[in-house]
Amino acid sequence: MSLEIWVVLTVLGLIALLGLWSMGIYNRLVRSSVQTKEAWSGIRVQLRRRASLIPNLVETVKGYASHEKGVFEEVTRARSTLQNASGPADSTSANQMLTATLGRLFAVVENYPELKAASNFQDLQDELSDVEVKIAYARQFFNRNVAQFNIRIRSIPDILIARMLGLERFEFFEEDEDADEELRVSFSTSSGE
Amino acid sequence: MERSSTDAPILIYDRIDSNRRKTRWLLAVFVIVSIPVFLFIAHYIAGVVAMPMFMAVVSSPENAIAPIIGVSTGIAVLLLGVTIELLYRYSSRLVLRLTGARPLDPEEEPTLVRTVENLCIGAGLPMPNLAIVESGATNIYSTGLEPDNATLVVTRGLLEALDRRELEGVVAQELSQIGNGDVRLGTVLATVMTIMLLPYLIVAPVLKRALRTSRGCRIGCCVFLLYFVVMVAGSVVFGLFLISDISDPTERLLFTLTMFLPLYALFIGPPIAYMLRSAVSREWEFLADADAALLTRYPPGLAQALAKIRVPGNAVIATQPSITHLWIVDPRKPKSTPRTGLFATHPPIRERIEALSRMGGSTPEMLEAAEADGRLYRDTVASERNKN
Repeated sequence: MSLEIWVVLTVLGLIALLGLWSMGIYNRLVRSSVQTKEAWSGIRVQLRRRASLIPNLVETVKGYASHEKGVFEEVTRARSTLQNASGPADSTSANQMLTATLGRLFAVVENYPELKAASNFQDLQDELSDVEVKIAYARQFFNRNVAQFNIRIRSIPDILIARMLGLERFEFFEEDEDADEELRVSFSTSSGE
Repeated sequence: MERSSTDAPILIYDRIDSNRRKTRWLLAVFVIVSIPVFLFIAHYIAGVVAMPMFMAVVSSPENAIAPIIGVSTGIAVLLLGVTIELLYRYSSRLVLRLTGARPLDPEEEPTLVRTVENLCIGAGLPMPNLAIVESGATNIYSTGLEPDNATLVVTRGLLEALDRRELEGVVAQELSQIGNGDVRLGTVLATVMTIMLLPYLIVAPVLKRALRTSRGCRIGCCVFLLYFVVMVAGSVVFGLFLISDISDPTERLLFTLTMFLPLYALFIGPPIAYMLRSAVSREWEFLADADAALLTRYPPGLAQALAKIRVPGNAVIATQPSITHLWIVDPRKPKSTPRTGLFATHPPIRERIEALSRMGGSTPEMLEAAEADGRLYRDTVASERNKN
């Protein structure tokens, strides 16, 4: 075969390799983005559970402390804000607002020992704290995915494909200061066996 | 095995990738080492086919041996393929049976269920099945080929001895192993090792009896052991007589290989496979510990749990040698097995605790207190349980 054919074949081969390689990166980015969205829906489920507990809680407290109208309205408003919130940033503020108003509600409850001792109130409180723990775990999983995705679309070579696809950074849900720190774990172990 | 000892923090995802690469290499070597062993066991199972083949060779050595060996190997491989497929499908059931675990009703242990549920959300995993081994030992393992059908197995002792945060730590360790594929690999390795150690599983009890029991039994056992020796030595001696009649070099090579197959399958393959399995499983414990610390955000939880389990005797549970690597801590008696070196399935527990301590949060006093609690548990609850 003549030299020209070899050159053409090599170039074609390189182009094919490049294509395969970028396909791999593309798939990785898509998978990462879908996973992150899935993780987000995991948070939504828990937030919805939290919101759905509120009416019952308000009704129960009302039975003992009917004149504390202001607090009930605040809590109910915070609940509907949380239900209508869409993205991580909106949900973050709505959820924090609900936490704050619930804090006020529980401060009110402190004045009613009978209410505190009521079994259905305690059940609701248990359930609420269970949901809160689950939100914390779901948030951890989501934020870890977000961090991974955001690092990926900003590093070479993924950044090239991400730019072409117009992929944007995800927002964190209730970001905390040490989010980046948590990704790093010291693996140093004493050497040898 | 060498472990890099850098003090710079490493991104966990890089560590997972390097762990995968190492594991893949070790697995490749493992496959190469274990093929002849499986071939031998398959030949042995296919004895009906192998026997006429042998007769054909004996009666007419000048005939071509290669096709005969080829046909019998083909049948053996087919047979083995079916066996492996079946074992693969039932591997987690096999493992569960080997440890005597029973399914746990979620209402029995609400704390455990809630802990697992929460950590699953944090790890993005489906809820595994739960099972329990009714034993005073404090240990835990998981098995299964996919996260969807994985089973988490705890011992009664673990639930009794650990507090909530410690339980969280060990459960998180297991869940991260389910998530990163170690459990799948470990389950496959467990089944493969069970097959490879099969001759020993048969011989060991016989040998024990030959040394201890009455005379009549002893003779029977000796005859049985003699059969094994004859099978191994005989194939070589017998082969040496026949090999001079074979002229074709390829056939000569094939015949020689077949000749040494029993020897290899019984005395060389299993120890090497055992060593490789240990190397694979030793690699992954540090990684899973770190993952657990990341998931619970509380390194002292697992560190204290390990300090409790570390108390001599606490982790010990009757188990098969082929599945020791699945447990979070080596479940064998400390005296009977090497805890360091090539045959150790787990890194020294002290090093694991130290690595966790370096992630922060735990003080030497906390760990000492946990170890004292573990000793107290062993001396009171566990010994009481073992008396009954």
